[in-house]
Amino acid sequence: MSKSKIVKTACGICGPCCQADAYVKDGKIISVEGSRNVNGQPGGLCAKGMAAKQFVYNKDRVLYPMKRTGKKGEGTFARITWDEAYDLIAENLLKVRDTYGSRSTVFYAGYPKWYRPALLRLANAYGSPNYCTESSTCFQAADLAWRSTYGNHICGPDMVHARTVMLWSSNLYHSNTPMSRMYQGLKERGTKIIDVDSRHTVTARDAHIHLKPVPGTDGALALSMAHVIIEEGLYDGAFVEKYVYGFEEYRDYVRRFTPEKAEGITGVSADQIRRAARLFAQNRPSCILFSASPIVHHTNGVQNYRAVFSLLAITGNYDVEGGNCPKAGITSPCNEFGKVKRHDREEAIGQRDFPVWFDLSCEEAQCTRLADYIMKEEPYPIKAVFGMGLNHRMWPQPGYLNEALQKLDFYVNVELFLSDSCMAADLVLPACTSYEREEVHSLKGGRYFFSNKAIEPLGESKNDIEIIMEVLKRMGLQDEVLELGYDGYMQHILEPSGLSLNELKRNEEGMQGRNLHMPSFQNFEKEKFQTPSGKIELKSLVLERYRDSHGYDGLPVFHDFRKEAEVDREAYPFILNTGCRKPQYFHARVYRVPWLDSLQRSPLIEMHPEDASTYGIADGDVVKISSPVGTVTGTAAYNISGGTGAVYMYHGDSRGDANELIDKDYLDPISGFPGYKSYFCKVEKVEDMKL
Amino acid sequence: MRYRYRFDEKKCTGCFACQTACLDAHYGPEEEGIRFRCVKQIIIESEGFQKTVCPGCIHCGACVRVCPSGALYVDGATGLVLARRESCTGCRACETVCPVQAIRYDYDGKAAKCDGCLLRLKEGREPACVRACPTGAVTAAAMEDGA
Repeated sequence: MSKSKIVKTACGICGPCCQADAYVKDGKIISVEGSRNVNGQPGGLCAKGMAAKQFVYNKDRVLYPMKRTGKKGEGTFARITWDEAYDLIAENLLKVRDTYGSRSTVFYAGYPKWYRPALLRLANAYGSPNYCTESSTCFQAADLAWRSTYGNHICGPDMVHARTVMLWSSNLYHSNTPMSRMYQGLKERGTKIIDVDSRHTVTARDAHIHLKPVPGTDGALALSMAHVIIEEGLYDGAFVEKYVYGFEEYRDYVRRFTPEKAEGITGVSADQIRRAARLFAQNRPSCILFSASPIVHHTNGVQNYRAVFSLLAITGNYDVEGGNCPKAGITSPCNEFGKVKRHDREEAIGQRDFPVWFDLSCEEAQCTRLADYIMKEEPYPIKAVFGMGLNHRMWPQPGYLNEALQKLDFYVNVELFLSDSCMAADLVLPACTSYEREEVHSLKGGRYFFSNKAIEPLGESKNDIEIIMEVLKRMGLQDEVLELGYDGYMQHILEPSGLSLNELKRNEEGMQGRNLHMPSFQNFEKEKFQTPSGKIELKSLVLERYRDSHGYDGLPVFHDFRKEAEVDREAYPFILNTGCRKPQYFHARVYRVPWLDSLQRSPLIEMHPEDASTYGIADGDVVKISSPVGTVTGTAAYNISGGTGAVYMYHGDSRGDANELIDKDYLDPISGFPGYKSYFCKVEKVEDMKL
Repeated sequence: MRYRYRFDEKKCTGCFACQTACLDAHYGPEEEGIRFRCVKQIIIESEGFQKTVCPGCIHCGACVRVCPSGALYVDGATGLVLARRESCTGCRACETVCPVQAIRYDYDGKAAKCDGCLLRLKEGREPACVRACPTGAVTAAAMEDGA
């Protein structure tokens, strides 16, 4: 037996890639730990990361290329060689291109995210405008809300210098565990914390002010805070005068949202709205710690988020020390992520439905309605999907997408696990985990880190980008970067930083780039905002373009889903809020990890005991939860942190998937994001049943 | 070197990192493992607040004092309370006195419990739960001899 060695590598189970030490013995991982004393990371891994062994050595891992042998959707496969697999891909994708045109193939990036620029290159080389990602239901709508207002990509908070930090729908103790110490440090430094969350979470409990709105009413709450700030003369008049477009109309609109009226809409007391608004406006500088999806998983999501982001503009907290800033930290430039442009000379899927998504381009197509586009051949036939980590459970009514995938001429999924989403595939290819490959990571502070291969890839699994490179070659396509080989690709990422791959490999603690951009503030004094007006747009001129055709409004208007959704509220009395973070889960990905799955029963339907007892439901009862489009069976759990009237459920569990309850057409008309966090349901006890 | 193991319920956010860290430290990927740390609900009705916390053994020795077979004992070098599987008669006396309900019983009904990550301590590493805890709720302070 050899001694164990420590390999400096990275955990990629959820995505941000925390640096990890893998203890490796005889070629196997025996234990993992968060790297400590590494610049840019406080150390430690979360519950999911610590379960790496059961993730990597999971019985569901795909180890060989597998070709469908039975009917589509049956899930019967036979092992083939990589050579045969590549030939099949080239043959089928070229056939689709020659018969229907390049646009009839969708290139889709699901989980993980690291290979996205390479897949976009492949889509471009093939000539398809339809490069899509799971961001069609995650984060991009938040970025879109920001861009429609400020013109640039979403700006993070400069919390080091802030005196007030406002968290909006982020239970970071559970969703971003490594941030825990930083969050605790804020309070120790005397920073005031406002937390907006529909539940009384552990994160909310550590805030000075907790605002607890009814899910989906964030917009009304933010507009009311704006009302207080403007009415009481607490706004930054000089900044607004010079740099803000549409302030008068915005001011007139927010007048409708007196705290008393907002109390009726949101459930947050008028007094608390005033206190929070005054603190945010007066205890400056103030910043907003945003979250990726909770606010935009509502049918008025983009507008709700625009209302929240507007608070920075009116209080002059944009691009000042301690506010939300584009250049608050040191950065070092690199290639690839966010730098590759999508082929856009041809109409992409989602473009007619969600034009602002494309006008404020995020360099991907919008595929929330993918199932409809395949089934109805709208706006043109979609015949093939080249998927990497495609997980149909990310979509509302996932069963419908699964049917659509079976209708395709050709569907490949490159996956770690033989997931439910692979069942419809013609070909399943084995990817390897972050522990089985090398990767260059760009970190905060202009730093770079080289993640080593801790173990050899299991079976015949491969690095996703090497798969993409070979697919490109087999189809006879060209891309100057993908043709560099994988080492060349990593060097290409580093090129603008001034570092070489070899020196980075030698420095296991990581290195700072040689070419650095130093922090700078008040950049708006020198550069115009990248909006049509050149100013911050409280009234978005991009949204206004589609006033007649799509009914969009340039102001961050509030529409109440409870009034506008055509759902019989007597039949479905509860608001259904799905997908609130739980520390042990990550979408559908880790239910197959027993150490995590055994922590709690699943699916769990969390209800306030008062609501539950009204319907004769005891803690632990088996219940049926139904919406207008689906029914799922699970276990009821009493939980008082969410208040009455709303039911909470995590998603993605094949034993009962919350997303089957969300109507596929219940979407934000601007972003196309599903209203995952404010649909409607009823809950009934199932007699004499145990799960 | 002796150690003082503590759990601060107030600081615990219920993130479960200690839970999987413990399993990672003691079991192989194919094993279900025994969860030495608890999963407990704290409910404060007046504040509309509830959270999950994960207390673990604090090596207080209460179980050692009631164990009739000597299966539970204090390790002289470290002060850790350990279980000697082969001596356990399965009487479960320890269960009744444990202040944190941290004693488990294996498939044979024999007592099993937190070993304080004795092997890791010998390698100069912290216990797995301490290393993983992001909020400082789980601690193991090394004490000077005689303390």
